[in-house]
Amino acid sequence: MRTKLRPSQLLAILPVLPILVVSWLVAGCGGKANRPPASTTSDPPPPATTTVPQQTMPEGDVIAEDRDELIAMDGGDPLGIRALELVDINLRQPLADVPFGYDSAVLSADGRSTLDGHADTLKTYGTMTILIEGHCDERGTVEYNLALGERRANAVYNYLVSLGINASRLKTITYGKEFPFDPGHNEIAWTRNRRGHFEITPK
Amino acid sequence: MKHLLRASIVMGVVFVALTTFHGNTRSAGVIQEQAIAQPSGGEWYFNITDPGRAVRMAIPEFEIGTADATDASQKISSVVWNDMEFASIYRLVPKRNYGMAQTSADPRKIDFYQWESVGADILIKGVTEIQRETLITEVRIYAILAQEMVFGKRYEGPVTAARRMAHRIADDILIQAGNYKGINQTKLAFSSDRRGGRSKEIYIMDYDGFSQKPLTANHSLNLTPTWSPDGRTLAYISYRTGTPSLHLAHIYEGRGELFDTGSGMAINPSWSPDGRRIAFTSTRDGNSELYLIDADGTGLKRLTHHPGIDTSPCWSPTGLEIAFTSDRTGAPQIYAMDTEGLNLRRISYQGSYNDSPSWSPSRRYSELAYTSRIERGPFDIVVYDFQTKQTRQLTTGRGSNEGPDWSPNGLHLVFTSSRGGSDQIYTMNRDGSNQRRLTSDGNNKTAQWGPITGGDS
Repeated sequence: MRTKLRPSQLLAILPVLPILVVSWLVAGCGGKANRPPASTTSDPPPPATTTVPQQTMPEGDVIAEDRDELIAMDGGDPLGIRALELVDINLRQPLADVPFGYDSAVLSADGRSTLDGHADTLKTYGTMTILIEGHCDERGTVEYNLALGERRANAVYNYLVSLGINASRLKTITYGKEFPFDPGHNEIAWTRNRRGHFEITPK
Repeated sequence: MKHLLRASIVMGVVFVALTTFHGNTRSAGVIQEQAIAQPSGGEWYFNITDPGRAVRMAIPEFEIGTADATDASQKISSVVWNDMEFASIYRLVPKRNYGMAQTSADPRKIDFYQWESVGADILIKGVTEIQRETLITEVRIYAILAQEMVFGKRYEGPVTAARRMAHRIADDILIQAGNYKGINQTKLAFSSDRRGGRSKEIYIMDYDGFSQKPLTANHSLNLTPTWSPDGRTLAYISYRTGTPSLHLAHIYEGRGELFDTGSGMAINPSWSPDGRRIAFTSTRDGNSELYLIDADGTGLKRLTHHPGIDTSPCWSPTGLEIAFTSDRTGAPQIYAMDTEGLNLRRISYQGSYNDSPSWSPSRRYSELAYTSRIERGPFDIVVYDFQTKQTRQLTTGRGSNEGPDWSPNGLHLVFTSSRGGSDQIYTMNRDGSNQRRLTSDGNNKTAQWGPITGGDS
């Protein structure tokens, strides 16, 4: 069972997204550097041989909540690039959820803007493959919500493809209302639970 | 469509052996029965003096024939009582009223006048004993006014089969005393997260909530089981391959398999009344559409052609029509069509969100139950009557009530309610009365009522 992060924690880890992704990419390739083209990003990742935490972990309070865990994970490894497991990377939600309205699979302006950012990330890390999960709030039936979640995942998929992301890097799945992000029974929880969610998948 | 013709791939689904389901269906565990001769073969009746009055039934505690049968006898008495209470066909005369009527020197001798004075129209007498490791119960039905025994049967089975024997007795009482097709030997299939983690497994239980047993154990997401009409196989959604797809569980063989429907996800299966076909939702052509496929995996046929969501198929009892959910007008509503996808018509006009239709199998009532959201309120179970075109609401406002499915005699419904804080399975009568909770462990939902299969066989 995964621990759920509070929104404050999610915000706090945004700055470390590049670290997480890079460290995973590095490890995923057995130590061989698999850097994305530097020209596609204004914030190029460090070389693979760099000790990641020392070089790129920003100073300040914003990362404090994650420091213990990152240090603990790197402990004893001189290179400091013993990677985070994929599950740990996904736990940090490197690609933010995309919200949906009640009984709707239409992307909002905010949702499209979030996906524009995800498309950039996907272009930066050109080998990253993702699973797009369609989720619904608890209202409504199991059966219909499975279909609605599929349609939400598909809306996200189609938009990313329209932005030039190769369809072969994207998979979709619906979870209907089976895995709410927020277990509450109120508008706040429902708003959080109507979402397109992203998991980075093994290549 | 060619790739659909290949045989379904046998998957290594881990099945929990349903030994008690199956173990009793062979010679060692079978319940045998034998008629007890009726004193007279003539016409009989229970209550003709006041046709409007409910027929009243007395069921005194079954006699204990041998001392070692005490527990079994009490259990059979209590299960039969509970079954008759659930059936809601007869008014049960409270046991505290029996007094004089059952204090006879010879328990086999029926004091009809005493039973008439306590208000009984029908008397059920039973005696249970154990002989040579065999549980034996004799049951007799008496018509009080006619002063005669109208039915008698002797049941023999394993000592561990008291509960099953009782359900069988209750079904016999219902058919003999009132020509009602009882559902006391039926089972419910549902999905439960009680094992913890993110898994939801398929479970089976008796109609009264007893004998809950897991069927799948694949640690994945398993939902919406649908029964084959012979009660031996379930089709359900499983995520075990990574994509929501249809799977079959051969309950009594302990074997499961992926049911290959081609590309795209496949969800929400519904088995046709003749067992030959399964209706389901697939995205193989781009968005959620309804399809039919033969039970052997061949003959795929597309039924709907609409960019909206078409899902949640259920069969009419004749097998000639299919009710389903579509949001083609903007919000999910119930529709019906024939099995060619023609003669499409909208059924639900009330409610802002309607889904999970279940067509009553009853020949007496022509009705369709579904989940309805009344404006912006909670979700409740409603029933649409095809004759009057009226809709009646069976649950009201306590939590979310959804996913109705009819009992095979059309007199009861099983559904899911969150009224107690978690999703649990309940049953009720077709007028919404007699609501009972059956589950309490974890969250339980998408229950489907299994067929009447005639008990052992």
